[in-house]
Amino acid sequence: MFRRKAVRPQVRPLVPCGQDVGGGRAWVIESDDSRTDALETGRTRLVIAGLVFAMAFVVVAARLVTLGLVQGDEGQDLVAAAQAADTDWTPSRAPIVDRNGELLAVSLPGASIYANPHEIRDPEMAAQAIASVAPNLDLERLRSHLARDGSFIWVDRCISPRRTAAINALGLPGVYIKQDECRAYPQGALTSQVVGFTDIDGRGLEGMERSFDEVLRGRSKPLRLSIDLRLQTVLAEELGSTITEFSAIGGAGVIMDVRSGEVLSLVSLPTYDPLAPALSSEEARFNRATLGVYEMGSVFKIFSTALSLDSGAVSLRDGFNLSNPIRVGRFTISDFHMEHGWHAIPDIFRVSSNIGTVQMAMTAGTPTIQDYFGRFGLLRQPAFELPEVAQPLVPSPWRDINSMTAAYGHGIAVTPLQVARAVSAVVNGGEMLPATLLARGPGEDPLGQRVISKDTSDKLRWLMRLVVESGTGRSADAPGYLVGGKTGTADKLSPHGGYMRNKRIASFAGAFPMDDPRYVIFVMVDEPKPTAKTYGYATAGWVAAPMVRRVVERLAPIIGLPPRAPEPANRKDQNLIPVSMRGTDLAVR
Amino acid sequence: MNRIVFLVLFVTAAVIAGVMFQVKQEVISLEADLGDLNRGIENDKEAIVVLQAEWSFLSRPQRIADLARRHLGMAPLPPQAMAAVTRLAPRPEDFGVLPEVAAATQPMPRRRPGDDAAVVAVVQTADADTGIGRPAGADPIAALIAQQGIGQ
Repeated sequence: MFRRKAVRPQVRPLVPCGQDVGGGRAWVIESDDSRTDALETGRTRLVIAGLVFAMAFVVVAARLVTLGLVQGDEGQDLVAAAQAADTDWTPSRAPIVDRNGELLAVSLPGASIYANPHEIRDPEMAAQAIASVAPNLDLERLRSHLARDGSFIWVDRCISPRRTAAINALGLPGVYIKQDECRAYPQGALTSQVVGFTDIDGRGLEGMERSFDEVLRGRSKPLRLSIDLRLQTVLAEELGSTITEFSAIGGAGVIMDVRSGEVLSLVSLPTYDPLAPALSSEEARFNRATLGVYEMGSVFKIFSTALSLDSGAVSLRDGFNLSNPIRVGRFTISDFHMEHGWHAIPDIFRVSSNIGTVQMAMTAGTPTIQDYFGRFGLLRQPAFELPEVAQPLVPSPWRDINSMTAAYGHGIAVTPLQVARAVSAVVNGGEMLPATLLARGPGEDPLGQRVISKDTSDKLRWLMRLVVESGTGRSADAPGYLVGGKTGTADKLSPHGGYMRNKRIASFAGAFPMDDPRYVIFVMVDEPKPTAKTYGYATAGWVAAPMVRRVVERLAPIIGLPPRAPEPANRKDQNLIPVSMRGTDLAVR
Repeated sequence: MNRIVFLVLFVTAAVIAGVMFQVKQEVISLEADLGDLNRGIENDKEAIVVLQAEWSFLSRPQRIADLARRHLGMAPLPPQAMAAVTRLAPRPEDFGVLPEVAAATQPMPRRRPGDDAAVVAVVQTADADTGIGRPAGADPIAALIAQQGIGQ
């Protein structure tokens, strides 16, 4: 690097004490040995020191490079991790939404308060301070907990931000705030029978929260139910107002899509607040729509008529004599309104005659009845997503008398869900679809199992329309929607044996529009009491049918189903069918 | 010669060091920004979940129906209020009448006392099923005013 200078050997006069090497003017060259040695030593030391410093600089440089290029990322990761631990919050449980994406259940970040009793000096004072800002807490319990010998107790879980701030402001030593996850149910009691609830640690205890517990924990994508919140609201409101009007003890309702088997609305009243299930009664927690089994009464005539027609035992043109009650052993089967003389099948169905239905069903025979009831899914527990699904009560052994009572819906108890599902099969062309609470995508309609022929289904649709047009279910007729259905009033079983005359279940199983059914509605009111407005009646025609009309009229605009134009006046002629009875041709209606 | 090379190298090293320092500082500040943004995103995500729940709570069908009933005087839509577009009355345009003629010659709602401005505004709307076959030469507005008695 630097230009080298030629170094000449240093020459100086010989000092007096120096070595004499020549004459008077002699120069003495200092001996090279000592000088060279010193120079060599110095240079070596310099080189070593230089090397040491160079190495130190290399180390520093290397460290700089590694810090700048390699370890910088690690540091960033550490920082990110520290930040993440501080603020990152991902819910450990997926939300539940309705078919339109409205939230039914969601996990929210919240705050919980815990305390370390060891660090609390004055439990009495601390307990009173906490209770002063959180009045919902039990002071005695809090005091004893805080005085306990331990290092961790929960004071309160999932509290509001306002209360968190208040407790924080108390500044109590030994009381801490922890970030927590809390399950919220924005729709409250409206969907609690379907959605269910979790415990404080986020484990599903009832409803869909329980049956899909594992699924909900494992993902963040919402679980989409088939429930439509708007329909659920309409059904719950109408059912609730009917229960109030008739001072009933409860009720249930199911709306089903007959093409896909999706349950659009499932209501059981009374219901409960999913945030405080412990505060509600057993009665409110009980899901009448899937866990309650009831003798449904005349609604079952839909199935007995369908099986009689489908098995070929009778045709629409056949008739039976309704004049005399049927006596079997000690039982007597009679009608609510006794009719006289011979009536054709459509008329028997229209006036809901027990006598006629029993004769018709017994023409088909007990094995056929059992076979068809089994096909309609009335004899076995249905496969359903909810954990709260009941086993139907089926007569065992099944004798002829059981067939007779089962034909008009007594002596066999099923859930409202089963009835809705079987009615869908009757009106949708005869295919039994699995009922589901999970939304199906377009084109995901399941393959049904054929239970009755298309022809029988058409006939039953006409018969059900007849009931609403001119039979027991006239008050269910929502103009323009061709509602069809069947009323059912069943006396409840007395705990002392036999039936109670004044405690009954009023139900209506219907579908609309009857020329191309889309929806099945089943509603049931438990123990309606007669009112002055209904002239002392509390039968299904007075209780359940008007409710169905109101539900249809309110939900049709919601789902965008326009009413049909009024039927032409001459349409009645199409309903006239010839009936052969003992060789005489009569006209029905 | 050596001096120049040394000088150039020294200056280069100094510049590189300066730039390096600058870049490093910039990266540090960007990383801090990134951290802030990530934290902000997390906070916003959390807030979105909470707000969604709150929105669901506030837009419960029952609550909306109650609010609409109390404050807007609204009621559930009756089925009769639904109709298909094809069931609407035909417009004059459907009979070959020019839109501007149709707009000017349509029947008017009866005049309310002291409400002339509102009547004139209605001329803009198109909802006519009569008024076809009016003489094309006549001034439609003048005819209309004469017919309705506006300004008398």
